[in-house]
Parts: sequence; structure tokens; C-alpha cells
Amino acid sequence: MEMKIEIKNLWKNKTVRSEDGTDVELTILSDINLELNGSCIQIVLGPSGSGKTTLLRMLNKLESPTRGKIYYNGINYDSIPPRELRKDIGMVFQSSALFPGTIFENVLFGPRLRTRKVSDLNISRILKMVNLSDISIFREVDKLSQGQQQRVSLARALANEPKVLLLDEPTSALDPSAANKLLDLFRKINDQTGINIVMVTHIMDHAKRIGDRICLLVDGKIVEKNSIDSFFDNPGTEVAKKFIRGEL
Amino acid sequence: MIIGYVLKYIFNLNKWYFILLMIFIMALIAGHNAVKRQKVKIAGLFPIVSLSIFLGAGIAVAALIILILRASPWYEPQYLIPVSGMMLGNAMNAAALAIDRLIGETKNRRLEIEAALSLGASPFCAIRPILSEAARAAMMPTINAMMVVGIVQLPGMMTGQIIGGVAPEQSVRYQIIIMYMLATSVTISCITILYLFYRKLFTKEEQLDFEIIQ
Repeated sequence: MEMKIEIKNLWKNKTVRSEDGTDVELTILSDINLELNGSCIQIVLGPSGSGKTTLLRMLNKLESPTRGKIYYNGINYDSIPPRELRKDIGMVFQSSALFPGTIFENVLFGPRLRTRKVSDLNISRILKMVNLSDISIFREVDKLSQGQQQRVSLARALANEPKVLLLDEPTSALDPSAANKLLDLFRKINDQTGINIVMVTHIMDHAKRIGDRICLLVDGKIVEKNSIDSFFDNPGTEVAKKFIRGEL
Repeated sequence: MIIGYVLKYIFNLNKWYFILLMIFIMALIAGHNAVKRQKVKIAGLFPIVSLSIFLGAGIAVAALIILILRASPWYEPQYLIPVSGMMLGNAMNAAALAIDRLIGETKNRRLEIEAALSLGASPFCAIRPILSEAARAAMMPTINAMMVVGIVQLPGMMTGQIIGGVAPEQSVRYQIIIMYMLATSVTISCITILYLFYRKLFTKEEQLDFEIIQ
């Protein structure tokens, strides 16, 4: 699936209220330059608080940059209507963030917004893809395990037929076994559908397991961009070496 | 005591524009009070609240005066001002509750709203379940009062009429009408305020406005 996202000189500042009640402006991301293209799994790796989630939220237009531009297939984000962009660039959150109701209602949420009918066959294809075909689609989502809930969340995003899928630490609430199953599922989806995946994580094993390309984000700055193998085998910066050694 | 003299003055003037001006001022004070009770200060909230309260109470009072009481002249202050006071007071409470619940639920269910936005939902579609919840919470006191009126509590107007010598069945009829009109006023105010106010929780890029909800 052909697509290209270019992030150019992106800055994000946020105003937070300090303990003494005064507003303080913090720089969350500074001078981010990144190109996402080709059908691959791009990992954004970094310690907690490095600005990974903020970067992902800006790609879904849930937040706007303070400075800099993002281009989607050469078109400036500012000139793309948010709903149109979000249909193309789906997002799966850290916690599943499901709507109260059944699996069926959750999965159909996106297509129903556009009054697009999704055939039963298509729903079962999506549910099969996320390994949920053995559960009744009329089951209430709050009765599911966390791993199943996260897969419903993934199915809900896939039902929109996105060209890019943003994954915000989707395995953080799962036990290692469920996390690995979900990671393998992302790999399978990328292989089968060609959907571009951008996954944020702070866990190196997860990045190694499914990533094709990686960028390391530390204190709001990209310190290294590389292929997964080169990054772990031959890190180019001192900061990356420290991160890999677990010293950051 | 002062309000007694003000009312006496207005009653004696008996001019429709003075009476409407007084009701409008009452709506502004109600709006100010409803906004003052909010924990979060939001620019532009006062006119929205005042307008919603005025609209809800106005429609209910107009229906009551024109269709039911058939007062002549229609601006008869003896009817218009006390009835407007009742409607405005209830609409004010409902407005304050509606905003409070809407902001609170938006904070609590932020992820749900953002998940809907991320799937391409409009802000209205994303926040619709929360609007329903806020409307339900704001209208609950009025609905509860309607359920037990005359059984658990005898409202002021009904009590006053019975003490004043009006036949109980007649005062009950009036009270039923008043309760329906209160519910009308509260419903219209809530719907108006929620519809106008939810937009303030989003930016023009259809993102949640964190300056308000944090």
C-alpha cells in the first residue's frame, strides 16, 4: 500500500501547571525529522516520557504541532480534513479504549460513520485476522480478557481499511505471552495486507521481534534512525548504545 | 425586602418591556450563578448559559401564560414574574449540573472520545454518549420531583394555594401543569446548553481542548 508520511522540523511545546500554580512551557518534541514510507513496521523506541505518544497523536491529528509540518502523500496535514485523515491513518491506543457494547458494535463503529455497509463476510474476515473468530460477535466487550479487548480494538481500527496503523504501546497492559501473540499478529497483518504500521514502545524485545525500521527518541529528540538489525548490532550513537545497555 | 419594593414598582408600571427586561435580568443573574459554580473557568460560557436558561424558561412560560392561564394582558406581572422565577430557578440548577457533568465525564472518558475521533467520528458523534449522560444527570432532580409530587412533597405553590383557600383538587391541577412546564423549561435549557457548549471542548482541528479539560 503506497503511502508516505514526512515529518519536517516538528516541535511540540505543552503548557503545564507547576506546583506553585504558575504555567510552565515544556518542550516535548524538538526538531523531529522523519520519513515513513514503504510497507513496513516502523518502531519508535524510547524511554518513558521521551515524547513517543505525543508524536503518534500528532500523526493521527489528535494534537497539533507547535512548529513544523507533517505531509501525508505530499499534502500538508493542515489542509487535510481531520476525519478524512483519521480514516486513512488509524490508531490503537495503549489501553483498548473500547466503547460500551458488543464486539460487533465496536468493529462496525468506523464503517457506520460513513454509512458504509460491511458485509458479514468482511467482519468475519477481520475477526479471523485478529484471531477472534471463535468468540461470538455479540459478546459484551467488558467480558473479554485484556488481550482480547486489545484485539477488538485492532479489529475496530482495521474495519476502517486504513493505509497506516498507529500503535501506541498496544502491549503494555498484557502479560508476555499475550503480548507476543499480539506482536506476531501485527507482523501478520503487515505481511498480509501491506498496511504500514508505526508502533511506539519502550520495550526493546518488542521492537526486535517485529520491527523493520526504528528511530530512537530520547528527551524529545530523535537520536538515531536505522534498520532494526543495524540499530541493535551496530548502534551509531553513544546514546543508542546506552539505551541498548539499559543505562538510560 | 428590597425585591418586594422592586416588584411592587414593576407591577405598578405594568409595561410589557419593563417586565421582559426584568425577566431578562433574572436570566442573566441565573446564568452568572450557574457559571460561578463551575470549577473550570471557560471563556464564553456565560452568554451560552444565560441564553439557554432564558430560552428554556421563556418557551415554558409563554406556553403557560398564553395557552393555559390565558392571562390578559399576556404580560400581567402578577403571573408572569413569579412563574418566570420558578422556571428560571430550575433551569439554572439544571444548566449548572449539565455543564459540571459534561466536563467531568469528558475528563473521565477522554480515551473513549479520542478513540471515536481517531476512527473518523465528528466531535458530536464522539461525545454524544456523554451529552446524553449529562442531560440525564441534569434533568434527574426535576424528574424525581415529578414522580413524588403530592405524595412525598407538597410544592410551595400548591401549599400556598391550599392555605389561601383554593380547593385542593384545583391546586393540584395547577401544580401538575407547573411541573410539566418546569420539565419543559429544564429540558430545553439542557439541550440548548449542551448543544452549544460541547463545541467549546474541541479545537477547530476536532481535537479535545486540553486547556479546558485538564
